[in-house]
Amino acid sequence: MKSPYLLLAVCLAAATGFLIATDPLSLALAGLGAAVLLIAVWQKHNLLASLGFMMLVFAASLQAWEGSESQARLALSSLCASLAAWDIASYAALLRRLAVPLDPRSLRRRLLRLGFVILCGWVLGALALFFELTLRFELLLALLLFVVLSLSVSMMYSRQRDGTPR
Amino acid sequence: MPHSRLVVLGVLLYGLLLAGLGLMRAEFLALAMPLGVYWLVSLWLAPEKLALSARRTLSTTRLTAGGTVDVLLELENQGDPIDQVWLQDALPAGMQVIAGRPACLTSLASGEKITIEYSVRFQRGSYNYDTLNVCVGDGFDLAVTVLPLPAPGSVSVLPQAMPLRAVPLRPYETKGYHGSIPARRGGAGVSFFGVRDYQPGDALRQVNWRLSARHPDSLYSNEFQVEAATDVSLLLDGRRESYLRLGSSSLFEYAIQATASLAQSFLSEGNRVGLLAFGHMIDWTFHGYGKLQAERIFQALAAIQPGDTQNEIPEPFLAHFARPGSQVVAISPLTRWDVITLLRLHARRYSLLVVSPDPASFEYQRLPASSSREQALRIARLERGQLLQPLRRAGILTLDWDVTQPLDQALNILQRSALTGQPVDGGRL
Repeated sequence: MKSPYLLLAVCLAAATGFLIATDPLSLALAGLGAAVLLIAVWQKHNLLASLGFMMLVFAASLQAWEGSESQARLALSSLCASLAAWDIASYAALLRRLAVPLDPRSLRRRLLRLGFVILCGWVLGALALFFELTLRFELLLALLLFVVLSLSVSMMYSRQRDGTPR
Repeated sequence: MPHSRLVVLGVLLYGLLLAGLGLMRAEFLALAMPLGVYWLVSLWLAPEKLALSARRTLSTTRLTAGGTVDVLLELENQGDPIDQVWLQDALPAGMQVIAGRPACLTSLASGEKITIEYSVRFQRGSYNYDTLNVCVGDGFDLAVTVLPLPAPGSVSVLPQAMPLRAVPLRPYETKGYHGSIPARRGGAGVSFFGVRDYQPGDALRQVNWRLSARHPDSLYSNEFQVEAATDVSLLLDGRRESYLRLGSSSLFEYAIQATASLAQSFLSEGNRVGLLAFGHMIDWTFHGYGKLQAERIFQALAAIQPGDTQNEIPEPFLAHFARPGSQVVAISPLTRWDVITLLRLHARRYSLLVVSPDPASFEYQRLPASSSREQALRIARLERGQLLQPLRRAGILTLDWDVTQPLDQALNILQRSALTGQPVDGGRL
């Protein structure tokens, strides 16, 4: 039962550690986000977990905005670790809320999937940074169109499928 | 507080994308990549067709308070494989899980069936299970589908009735049927009632030879007191304001238990018993005989909860429910206004027995021992004595029930005092 908490601690340490070279504001924000995530697991509070994740993402974005390319890569790594921490925190909070024993098979499958996602996401992000993606006007328009279309599709999906009580 | 992780992820993803496009910074687009992949994989793993069914089996549907029920929940997946499914059975107040867990988090292959078993201890009440909310998540539980699956079940937890040896009833009128209540008329029986002129058909052993010897021209026969059945109306006070509640225990449960015990005792002696409860609303069970009536009354008692709608004894309703001359047994801690109402009922020729659970004794046993507790008890008992005095003066049998004593013991003391004519002192003699 301890393994998700251990993983969560490692992910949070990584998420904060990748931002260590940045300005104190980002670091403080990341530290606060990590603390909020831990409190969320302790309190079985999913909303707090999301708040902590948002803080971590915001801290990574600040580093990417202000820093060099290497710092942007570190920010990308921090974001990947934050994403993993958020996922594990949500799973741990669910386990605590239901008060059921951990199913190791289910956890292993989830972690494998998460690992794949994080790896793919990091590689794609790193490629975008490596090739120094320049946003020409045509590309900007195409991306904007994609964003608007996918946003509307995702909203439709959310209304149809997501029954999480709000 | 539940909320959607999908919305959080969407806000962050589109925030980063729009920031990247608006500020023409590729770093933000790069940061959006992991979030996008996370969402896409989660979508890809979401089950397309959900076909789940649930079934609930209860080991018993009728039990007495404090009993346990084993609940078996079966969940079957007839659709696509589900990677993560979780459920938590809703437990109404009054239930306590004593073994197992009413929740589960698992994955379900197509055609797979899982079972969840747990045991619950119930307090008195009527419990209805309706639906079982099953949550199905996609790959990373971003979008959660909540399926309310019908899994009905109901449990009636009846109050526990204690056996009572003797309840002092003296109704003005009795029924024609044989029972155990001394009727105010002569006939066949055991206890001596009086002497009358001999009538043809009287058995020789009925003849009072001693009296007949003193009157050589006539014969006299002994008459015995008829023991008959009667109509008993149980009047249960269900007003919340009447009852003390300390922690999880309430004086109301004592009143319910007393009502159940009295109903059981009266019915077993062949009387016709009815129940009228007032509090949340007026609840009645018309008079009847036998085991079926006992079941009706117990089911009604199981469902009664204290309420605030009624604030006084429904006197007009009682006049329709019970005939004057019949026996009314009131179970209530009583207020000053109730005493006045009971005196009015007594004046209208209702034969009354009042069983009043004593709030002072109920509170006393839950307070830490101290000299002030003893003093407070003395004052409270003086107040109770003052409250009940008008009833006793009017000749109404009143039991100030010290709830630390069994009801049977308290009623025995009342029975003895009714026979000897000795006054009853406070709940206690």
